[in-house]
Amino acid sequence: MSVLKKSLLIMAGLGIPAFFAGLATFAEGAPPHAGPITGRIVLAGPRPEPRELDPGRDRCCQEALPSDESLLVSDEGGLANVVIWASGPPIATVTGPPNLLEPSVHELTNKGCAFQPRVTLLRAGERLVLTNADPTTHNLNATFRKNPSFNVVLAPQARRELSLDAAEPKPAPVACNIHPFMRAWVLVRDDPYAAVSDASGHFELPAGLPAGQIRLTFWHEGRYLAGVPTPAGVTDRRGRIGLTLPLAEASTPYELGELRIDPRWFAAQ
Amino acid sequence: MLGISRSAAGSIAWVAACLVGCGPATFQPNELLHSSQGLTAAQSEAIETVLLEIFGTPAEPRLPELLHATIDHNNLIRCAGEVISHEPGVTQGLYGRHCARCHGVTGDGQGPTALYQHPYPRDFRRGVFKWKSTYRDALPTISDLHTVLERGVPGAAMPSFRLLSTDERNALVDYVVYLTLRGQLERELVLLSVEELAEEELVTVATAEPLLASLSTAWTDTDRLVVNSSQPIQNLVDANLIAQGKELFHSELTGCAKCHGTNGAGLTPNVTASDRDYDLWDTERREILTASQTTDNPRLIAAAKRAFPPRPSWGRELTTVKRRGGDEPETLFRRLHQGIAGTTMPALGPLRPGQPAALSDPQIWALVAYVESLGISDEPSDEGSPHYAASAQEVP
Ligand code: HEC
Ligand code: HEC
Repeated sequence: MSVLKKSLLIMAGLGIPAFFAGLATFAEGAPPHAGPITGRIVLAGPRPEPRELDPGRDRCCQEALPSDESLLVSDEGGLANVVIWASGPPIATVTGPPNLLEPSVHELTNKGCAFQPRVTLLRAGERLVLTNADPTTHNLNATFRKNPSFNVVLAPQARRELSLDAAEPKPAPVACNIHPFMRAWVLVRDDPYAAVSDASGHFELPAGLPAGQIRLTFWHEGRYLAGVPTPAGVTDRRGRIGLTLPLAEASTPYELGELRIDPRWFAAQ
Repeated sequence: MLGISRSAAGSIAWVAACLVGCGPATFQPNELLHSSQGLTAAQSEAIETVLLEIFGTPAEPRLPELLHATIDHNNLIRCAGEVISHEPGVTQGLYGRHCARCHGVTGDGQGPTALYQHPYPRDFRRGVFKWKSTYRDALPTISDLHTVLERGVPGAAMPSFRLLSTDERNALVDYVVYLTLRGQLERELVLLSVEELAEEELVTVATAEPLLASLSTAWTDTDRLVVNSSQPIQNLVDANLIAQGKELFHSELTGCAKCHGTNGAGLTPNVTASDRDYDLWDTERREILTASQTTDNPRLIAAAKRAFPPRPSWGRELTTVKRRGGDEPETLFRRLHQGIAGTTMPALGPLRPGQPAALSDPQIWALVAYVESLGISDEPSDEGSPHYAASAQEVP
């Protein structure tokens, strides 16, 4: 990817008219990078019993038997769908591996009366495509803070494409009110430095952050993960820790290791 | 700098407060929001100070320069403070007299009689309104607010104020915008404090001004965002059109019947967990109450104890109940086109003119024809204040 194209995308992320802004300064050379940030989120206690969902009146939902995905814990205790994002000093001006800067389209589909994926990460200006693979009507009700909120009907096989132009401070909730047990989250950021923990609890933020001070936020299903011990200190009320990232090759991760969460955190849910 | 005038205002404010439940009539902070966002006392105090500086008190409202195009200061003065009459026919304290018992002095929807209403009176602070002519995510037009005051919200506790003079309604509409902007700014300042500022960095009037500027622009922009509902060629009582609407209503293209039942007869609400759903205001309340169960933040625990219980909302039966947003085909068209903001009812039309939609305008008109054919609509009641009785309530 050309330097030109990279800077266009970065400028778009900053909300600056992309076509003329600061190409020269950008080409002068990128600031030094840190490697990726990795870790694994683990529930430090017995795995909770998955709750049963009431699939409602729709035949296709009763048949699909959607399960409660609000607390997905693997056999080894890994916690899925924790969202981790970086913030702090001017991340948006940072270059990264070119593949991170390619804008893409993100599909959020309704399948088996569940949203897939549970968490969508995108960068400001990227497209969110809403689809419905079920034989029943869904609606998609998204409450944003910086982007316009919407609540639209999505018939079987329907497709709606939206562009989300503003970065959000945290993941926005998405609901289907015809099937209120359905839930998804969408996080829009200005930069690509965000990740979702996978089924085994692992996460990786891509290489390319500036070396030096940054802040990481840990969040799960509408709540900041507060009080989680990490090698860089305990997360604060808003799920944050400060990190000092060393200069590193893209192949050398900054490892946070296993981050253990007290199961009492989820007790009252 | 406000010291002297505030203590003088204090005693007047106190008298006024006794009309809506005794206690000093000050604007109350959105404690549920402040505490759930984990604000420190210093952060909250800074926000209160900024709001006081910009908006004044219930007895002595202030209007920043920035809002002079949106709101008439004389109107605020007529609505604010205690109920008094200097000259025949001119009443002051209009808001305290007609609205505060339900909407609260602060416009938080938590006046002394609010707890027993379903739906609760509107909490203006969120800046979201249901019965309006604009695109879903836009504020109402000033004329939408007038319509709500004239018509009331039939089927909810909100009475019609058609017996007031046009002047008085004008003044009250301005006061609603004033309270709404105050609440919107408070929310922005709370979120700014926690999302963008360091804990020791407190908000000031200077921080607030650009936020207030963009909030007030959104109020002046609304006329541009009215949904065009030009009538179709067809006659709405045409049997074919009604039949087409009926089919759409029960089809997977719209999902209407999934929330409103077959033939709009309604579903038995909340029988199963899968039916329990909440509007925007109660969704937030519920989330905060859930969070309060695992918190060790005493402020949040205290705020949660005082919070109204969240109440489910659902798609009502459409055959007998009154249309809360009015019966005119054009307003009904807009309600189907954009759904009902703040509620679970989704939109069929595009997010903005010319964008893709779930249904075409003619299809939406067919639905209007069908829904009109279901409705037994009564004339709105003439419950102009001060003679209205406690109005009809639906309790789950
Ligand atoms: C008896 C209680 C009561 C009184 C008195 C009352 N309201 Fe309301 N008001 C309500 C309720 C309940 C709602 C919510 C209706 C709904 O959700 O459909 C409401 C809604 C509203 C709305 C929002 C409409 C929308 O589109 O969302 C406005 C504006 C409003 N009231 C203004 C006023 C003003 C101004 C006064 C005084 C002149 C007043 N109300 C007096 C109960 C009341
Ligand atoms: C996800 C559930 C849901 C769906 C789908 C839905 N509605 Fe609604 N509808 C609601 C709710 C909730 C309300 C009540 C809103 C309120 O008053 O707060 C409502 C209110 C209404 C009203 C009354 C408005 C008034 O002024 O009182 C009409 C008419 C209506 N819906 C028609 C429809 C039609 C036609 C469709 C299909 C295009 C539809 N609804 C689809 C949930 C739904």
